[in-house]
Amino acid sequence: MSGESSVELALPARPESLTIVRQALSGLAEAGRWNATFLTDAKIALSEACSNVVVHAYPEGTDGMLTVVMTVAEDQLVVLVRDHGVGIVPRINNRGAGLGLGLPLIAALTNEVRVRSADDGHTEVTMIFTVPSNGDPR
Amino acid sequence: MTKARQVEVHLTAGPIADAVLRRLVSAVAAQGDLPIDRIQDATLIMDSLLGAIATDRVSALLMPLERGIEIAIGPLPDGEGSRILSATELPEVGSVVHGLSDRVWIDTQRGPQEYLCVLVGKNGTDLAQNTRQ
Repeated sequence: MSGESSVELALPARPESLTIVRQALSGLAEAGRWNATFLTDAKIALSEACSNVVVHAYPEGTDGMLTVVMTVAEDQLVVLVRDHGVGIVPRINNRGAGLGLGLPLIAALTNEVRVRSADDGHTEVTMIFTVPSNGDPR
Repeated sequence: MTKARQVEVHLTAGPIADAVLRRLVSAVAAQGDLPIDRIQDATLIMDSLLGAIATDRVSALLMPLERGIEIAIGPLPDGEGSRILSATELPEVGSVVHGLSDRVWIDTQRGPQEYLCVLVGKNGTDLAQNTRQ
């Protein structure tokens, strides 16, 4: 891949959408020939951010949207996960779902993570990764 | 089909679109309870369409149906849907898209621009009645 490339997804905030999002990331990895270890880390972080939207962003029983934008430029992958609901809540004190690791796990797997909540209610998690070169086993 | 299950995707054309959309079509078609041979057909259709798209960006809507998948490429400029379809014709084989799908049409009702729509059902059955609920 040369220059900047991107994949933008808008899909329902439902559990089955996680498969779609992970497949999109796998497609980017295939096109960019990323190594498997990096892809695994990026998938875990992405899945965790999207799971937070599915589980926490919308009141139970209501439909909501999940937006994911993945941008690759040179050796950097930027993944933005956005909801349009009540916001992404870290799972630190929530024993209801998942591993309970939430944003700390994302922070551990990324070079940088930013969380931004807007006045209109939507929340964005931006994850920045350095994509290792093909020969880098990292 | 329910619009609530629709996946909207915009992405860079070329190898990324090929790799990503092939996977997304497979995943959404699996949600539509398609057998593996029809999932493969849907993937071939997407490959064929991507090979004919001439723009730098690709936009598509993927919708799982009760027994199938609807693929909508667009929004497209007027006439582009027909041009893409023509470009998928192979000598002595004809259109892969027409041959493998249940229905192909140009939809001008979704918005100000047109969409090239393809329906792939379970056994070549007509799912048209399920597509506009």
